[in-house]
This record gives sequence, structure tokens and C-alpha cells, in this order.
Amino acid sequence: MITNGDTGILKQLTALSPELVSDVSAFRDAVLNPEDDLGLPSAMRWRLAARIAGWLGDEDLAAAYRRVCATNEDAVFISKELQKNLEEAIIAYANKVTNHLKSVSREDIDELVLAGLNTPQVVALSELFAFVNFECRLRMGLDAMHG
Amino acid sequence: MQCMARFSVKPLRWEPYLPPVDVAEATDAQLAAMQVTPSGIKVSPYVRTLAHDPQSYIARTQLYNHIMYAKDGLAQHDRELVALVTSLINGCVYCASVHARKYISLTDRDDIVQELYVHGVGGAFDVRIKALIDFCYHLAVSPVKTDGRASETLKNRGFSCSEIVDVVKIVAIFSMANRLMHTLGHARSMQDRA
Repeated sequence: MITNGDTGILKQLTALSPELVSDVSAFRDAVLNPEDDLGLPSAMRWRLAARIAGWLGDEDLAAAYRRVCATNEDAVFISKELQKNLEEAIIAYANKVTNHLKSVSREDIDELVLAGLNTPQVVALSELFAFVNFECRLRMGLDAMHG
Repeated sequence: MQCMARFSVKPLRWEPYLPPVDVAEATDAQLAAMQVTPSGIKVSPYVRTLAHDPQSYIARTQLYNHIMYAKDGLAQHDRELVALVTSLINGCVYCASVHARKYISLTDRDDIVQELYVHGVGGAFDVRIKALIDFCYHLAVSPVKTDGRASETLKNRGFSCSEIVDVVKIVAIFSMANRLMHTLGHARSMQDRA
């Protein structure tokens, strides 16, 4: 069973803005440990989150995400037949959404669907990528204030 | 500069790339997330698109409302400016349009919005606005470039610590919102019907 792990953000928020703690926790649960994973296992979600945090330059958050997914033994991707194809498509999209957001277009969504994702899975991944971009900036912005 | 000229303060509509949830076929969880009632079945395409993942939609909406509509802290017009600047940096045409119009309605400062649209974050602004825009830029870009200097500059321009925390929260929440609005669909003119 994957737990939320300690990404440090809840401690920071408790000190600065305690009313947001439950909101951030609920959102993290929804994208990383959802009640219905829509065929996207939590282990895969945590691994993607770790990769995105690293791209954004938050190595501490990336390490926190990696510690959680390292304890999980679930299947990483959705099906063995589509594993390589899906892995490449999902990681490429995560990179584009994180690092080159302006250039994302309908073609990128079409490619995900062609790679085998259904509509709820595309939406769920989008929410995941959006959350990690949120959490990284919240952490790094608060850190900068107190650095 | 050509890229920035795409932005407009005209009202836009949002069109999804993927089929939204059909309210008539929605699950109980999706209906609850969309807050559909028998007397109010008209739900926007954006909400119906995100309702494909109802747990995330509910959680994200609560977080967004908590941050953007807090009663205390950063003034509402500054909140709208931070949302606008972050959306411009991220290239989210729809969000930029919405928050540009809200900012103008609160301040009548269409000159600031015009400068942002024409010259971007490097345009000519007074020192207070410039400090706010610079802080947003350094936190919104990928990889993140923020450091203590930007927040010190905000403090020197009269922003309190709690107001700077609000700026951080709003840049963060729009770094999230833009990554949904700009990726799952696109902005269209109100007159431009598919």
C-alpha cells in the first residue's frame, strides 16, 4: 500500500497556511492514490511525479516521491503489450506539459489516444501533471521566502 | 512579440479536444462532482471534461476556490494580476482572457494589461507592478528560477509576508490550472462556432 510520504509541503503549509493542508492532501490523494485509478496504477503515478519534480529542479520533492514508489510492487504500466509504446508517449507528454506548455496542442492529445489511453486516463494524467507542477512551485516559492 | 499578440481580452469560449462527459450518461460520482441537479443540467464543457476524473475534479476545485477567493491577504485585483501574468507566461489564452477582464474591471488599468499583451513580462511597469511580475515569472517558468531576491524585492515594494505567500499560492495554482485548460482544449472566439 502506497502512503502519501513526507514531501515537506504539509509541514510548511501548517506553519504558514494551515487551512490549506486538507485541500492539498485531498488533491494529492486524488492524483497519486485515487480511489479509482482508472487503469493507471499508483506506482506509475508516483514515478511520473518524481520525474516531473526533477525536471522542475526540486530534487528534494523528487526524492520524496521516489521513496514512496520504491516501496510499491504494483505493475508500472498499463499492459505489457503496450508498455513501451505507452511509456514513451506518457513521458514525452509529461515533459511537454511541464517544460514546453505553450507548444502543447491537439496533436499531443491525439498521440496519447493513439498510444492506447482512453479519455478518462488522459484527463487523470493531466490532473497528475498539473498537481506536481503546483506542488513544486508551492514548495519552491515558500522555500525562497525563507531561504 | 507576435506570439504575445495572440492574447485578447475579448470573451472567449473553451472547446475540448476530447469528448466531455455526457450528463445523461454520467455516473453518480460524476454527477456529484459536477453538482448536477434536476433543475440545473447545463454544465460547461470544461467541467464535463474534468468530470472524467471526478475525485481529482472535486479536490482541485476546492483547492482553487480556497486560494483564489480567500477573504484576507492579497488584494483581489493583485490576485487577478498574478493569475493573468502566470497565464501569459504559460501561454494559456483562455485563462489570460478571463483574468485580464477581471483585473480591468477591478482597476480600470487596461494600460497594464495592454503592456503585458504587447511587450510581455519585460514591458514597462511601475516598480510595484514590476516586482510582482518578476516574482511570478521566476516561479512560473520551467525549471523554476525563484530565489530569495525576488521575495525581498516584493517586501521592499510594500508587500507583507502573508501577501507574498498568497502570490506563491496563486502562481502555483495557475501553474496547475493552465496545465488543464491549455492542454485539454483550446480557446475559440465566441462568434467562431465549430
